[in-house]
Amino acid sequence: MAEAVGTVASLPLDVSPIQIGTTFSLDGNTAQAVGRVRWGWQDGSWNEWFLRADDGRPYWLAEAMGMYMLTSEYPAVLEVPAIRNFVDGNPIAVEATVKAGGKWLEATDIKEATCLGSEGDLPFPTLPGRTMINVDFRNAEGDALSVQRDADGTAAWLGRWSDLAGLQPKNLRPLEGWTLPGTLA
Amino acid sequence: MSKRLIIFSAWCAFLIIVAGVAAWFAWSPFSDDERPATAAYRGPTHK
Amino acid sequence: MTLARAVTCPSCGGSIEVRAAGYTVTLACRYCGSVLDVAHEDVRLITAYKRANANFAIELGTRGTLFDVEWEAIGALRRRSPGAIWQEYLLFNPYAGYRWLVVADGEWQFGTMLLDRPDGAGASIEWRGETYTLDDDATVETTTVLGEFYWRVSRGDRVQCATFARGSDFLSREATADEVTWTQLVPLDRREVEDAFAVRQRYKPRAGLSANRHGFFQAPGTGDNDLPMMFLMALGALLVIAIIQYVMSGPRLCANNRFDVAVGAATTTHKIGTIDVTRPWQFVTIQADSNDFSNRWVDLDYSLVNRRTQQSIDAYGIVEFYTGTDSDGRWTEGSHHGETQFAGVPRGSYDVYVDTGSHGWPVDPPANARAPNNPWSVPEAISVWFNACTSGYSWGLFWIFAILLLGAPCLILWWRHRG
Repeated sequence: MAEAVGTVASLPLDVSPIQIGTTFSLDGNTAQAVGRVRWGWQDGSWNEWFLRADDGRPYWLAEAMGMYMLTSEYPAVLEVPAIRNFVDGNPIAVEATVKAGGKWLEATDIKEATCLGSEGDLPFPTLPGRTMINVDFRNAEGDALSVQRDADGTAAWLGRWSDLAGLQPKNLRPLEGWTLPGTLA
Repeated sequence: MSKRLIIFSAWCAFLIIVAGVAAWFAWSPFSDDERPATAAYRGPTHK
Repeated sequence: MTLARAVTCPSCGGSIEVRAAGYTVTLACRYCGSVLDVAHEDVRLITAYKRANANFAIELGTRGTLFDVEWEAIGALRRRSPGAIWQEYLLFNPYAGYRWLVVADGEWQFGTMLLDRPDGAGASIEWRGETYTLDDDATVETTTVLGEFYWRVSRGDRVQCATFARGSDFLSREATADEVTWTQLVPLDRREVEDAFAVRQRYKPRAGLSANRHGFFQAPGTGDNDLPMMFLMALGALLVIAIIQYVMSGPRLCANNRFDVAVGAATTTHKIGTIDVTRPWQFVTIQADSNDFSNRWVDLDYSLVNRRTQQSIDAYGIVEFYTGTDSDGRWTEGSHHGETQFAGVPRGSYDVYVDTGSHGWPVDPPANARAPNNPWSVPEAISVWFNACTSGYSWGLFWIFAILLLGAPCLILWWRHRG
C-alpha cells in the first residue's frame, strides 16, 4: 500500500479528543490512529482518522458532532445499482435505500467536500484542495455506510456509528480545562 | 416528593400540632367571655 | 495545549472565544448577536444585529455536571411553536459530544441525538424495542440565537417537528429540506439541573402563549403533579384537626333551667345550675332559646363562678328579634336563639349564673299597671330556656385552619391558570 508522506496544510485548531497514537478496541482487535484527513464542506468540516489494526487491517474513523463512524472497506456495495449509478457520475437521492452486508440502509446526507489538510500516515495522497462527494447511509440499528467519489474513483466503507466510549479509546488527547469523564477513564 | 411538597407536609403537621394544643387548652379566638372593659353598652346590636 | 480559538466579530469588533473549535459552524456574537460563519478559517458575517439578547436562564459558558459528565453550555436558542415558547441549550464535552437541555413550562429535558433511527412511519414508531406514538406535529421557529452551534442556524429558521411520546420520554424528529434529525428527550429533575447550571430563574421561559396549552412539551409540564397530593394532604390534615377538636372537647355535662324575664323591669340574677369541668381546660357553651317575641331584646350576662375559689368568668350573650316594614316590604332581624361560648375554662366545679334584663325596641312597652279589677294581668315576660354544657366546638378556629391548609394549593392552582 502506497503511503504518502504526511502533507500538512496548517490544520486549524480543533478540540478533537483523538490524536495520532490514540488506540481503539474494535471487534477484539486493537487499532491505532496513524493519520488524519480533514474535510471541509459548505456548512462545516470533519476529521477522518486512518486506523491501522494490530493485524494490519485498515479502518477509517469519521468524526463529527461528537459522533463517530467506524468503517472498513466494502467494495461489494459498488455493484448495487443505485451505487453503480452514483459511481458513474450521477447524483444520488437523499433517502435512497441500499442493501449492504445484509442490512438495509438509507442515505441521510450528501456533501461535496474539499480536503483541508492532513497529517500522519495515510494510504493515498491527500492534497489540500482535492474534492470528493460523500454520501452517508444509516439505519435503525446504527449501521453506517459511506460512499465517496472523487477524481480517482469511488470507494465504499461499511461499519457502524458509535459514541467515543463505545470504541474504548486509550491515549486520548489531553484537552486543557477538561478531564476525562468516568466512562472513558 | 418535590421540595415544595415536603415543606407543605411540614406545614400541615405544624397546623395539626397547633390544633392539638389549642384543643388541649380549649382556646379559641372567637370566644365570648371577658367582655371588653369599655363595653358598658347593653342592648340592641341590630338596627 | 490551549483550546482557544479566538475570533473577532466583524460586526461589532468584540472578541469571542470559540469553545468547540473545529466543530462549530455558526457563532452568534455574545455582544451584538450577529450571526457569524466560523466553519472556515475566515470568519464571515451572515447577519448583523445590534445587540445580543442574552436573557437566557443559563449563561453561556456555564458548566454543570449531569449523568456524571461535565457539560459546557455553549449555545442557546429561543424557539416557539403555536402555543408554546421554550429555550434550548447546546451542551458540549469534547469526549462525550453534544447534548441538549430544553426548558419549557418550568420543566427540563435532556436531549441526545440518535445514532440509530426509529422504525415505522405515521403515528406509531418503534425504537429500541419500545413504541412511541405521535404527540404533536408543528412548525417550530427559532427566534433567538446565541453562542455556538455545529450546523447553520439563524433567526427565523423553521423546521417541521414531529414529537412521539412514550410516557414522559419523547422522540423528536426535525426535518428540513436536506436532512432529518432525531433526538431523544428525557425528563430531568428541575432541582438537579438548576443546581448544576446556576439557572437564572427570572429568565426561564414563561408559560404557554395561548390559553390552549397544547404545546411542544405538553406532558412534562405536568411535572408539578404534586398539586393533587397537596390538596389531598390539606384535606387529610383538616380531617385530623376536625377529629382532634371534636374528641378533645371532652365530656358534655349540662345544666339547664328556664326563667321568665319581665320586659322593662330591672335586671335579675338567676342560677342556671352547676356544671363540672373535668378536663384540665374545656369550652363551656350556653344555649339560650326563647319563646316567640318581636321587637324585644334580652341581655344575658353569664357568670361561671368556681365553687372552690369563688372566682368568676364572665361572658355576654343576647337574644333579640325585630320586625318591621319598609319600602322593600316586611323585614326581620335577630334570632330567638343565642349561643355563648367560654374558652379555656380550667378544671373545676362551677355555678352558672345569668343576669337577665329585657327591654322593648324602640321603647319599653307601657308600664304595666295591674288593673284594679283584673287580678290575672301580669307584666309582659319572655321565657328563656338555658342549657349550659361543658364542651363545645370552635367552628371559627376550624375555618381558620381550613383556610391555612387549603389556601396554599388553591393559590398555586389559581396562579397557574391565570398564567
